[in-house]
Amino acid sequence: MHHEPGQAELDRRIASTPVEQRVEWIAAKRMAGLRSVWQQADAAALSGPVEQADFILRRLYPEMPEAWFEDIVGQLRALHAAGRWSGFRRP
Amino acid sequence: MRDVFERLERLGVRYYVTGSEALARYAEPRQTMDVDIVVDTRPAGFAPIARAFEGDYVVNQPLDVGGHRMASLIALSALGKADLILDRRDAWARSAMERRQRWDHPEYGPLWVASVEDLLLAKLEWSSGTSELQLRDCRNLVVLNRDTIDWPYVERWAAALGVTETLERVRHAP
Repeated sequence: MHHEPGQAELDRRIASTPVEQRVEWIAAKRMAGLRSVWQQADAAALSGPVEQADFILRRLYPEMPEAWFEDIVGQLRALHAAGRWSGFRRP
Repeated sequence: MRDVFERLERLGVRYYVTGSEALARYAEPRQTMDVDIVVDTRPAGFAPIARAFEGDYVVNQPLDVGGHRMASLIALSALGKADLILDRRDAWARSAMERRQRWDHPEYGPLWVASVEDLLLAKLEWSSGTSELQLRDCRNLVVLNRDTIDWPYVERWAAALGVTETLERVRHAP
C-alpha cells in the first residue's frame, strides 16, 4: 500500500473528530457535488427535465451500469409524459 | 434518505448501511453521492420492496454488478440515490446481518449500520486485493479501531472469504 507523508497526523485528527462532524463533511461534499452538476446542466442549456436528468445522473453516478441509466431515463420519460414528474428539485 | 430507511423499517425488512456512509462512523470519511444498503430480501423477495418505493422513486430491477446482485432507488424529488445489495446468503453475510448495529445517524436518524468488523471484511472483499481506495479505507478502519476490533472474528471470516493475505497487508500497513 502506498504510504503518504503526513498520514500519522491525519490519523490523529480523524480520531479526534466527532462522528457528527465526519457525517456533516460527507453531507457538505455531497451537496457541493450536486450544486456543481446542476451548474453544469444549466450551462449546457438542455431542452427539458428528462434530458437534464440524464445529464445530471451520468455525472453524479458515472459508474452506474448503462442498463440502469437507460431504465431510469425511460421511467422518467414515461412519468413526464404522464404528467407525474416535472424534474428533480434543485439543491 | 431518511425516508428510505423509514420505508424499509415499516416493511420489516432487515438491512444495514455499509460503504462510505458507514465508514464515517468508524474512520476517515470519503465523499460519496449515494448510500449503499445491504438488504435481506428473505422471505418475500424484491417485489414488496420495489412496491414500497414506486411512485416516489425510480426503482431499478436487480442486476448483477461486479458479482453482487444490486438494485437502486432514486428519489423523484431531490435526486438522492440508494444502492441496494441483495440476496447474499452465505454464512458471512448472515453473520454480518446478525451483528449489524443501531446508529442514531446525525442526518438520517435511527438506522442499522454494519459493525466495524463486517465493514472491514466487506471492504477487504470489494478491494479484490488491488483497489487502492478500498485498501486505504481498510487501513484507516484498522488504524482507528485497532483496540476495539474483534480480531478473532475478523480472522475467521477473512479466511472463509479468502482475504487473509490482504487483511495482513492492511493490518501491518504504516
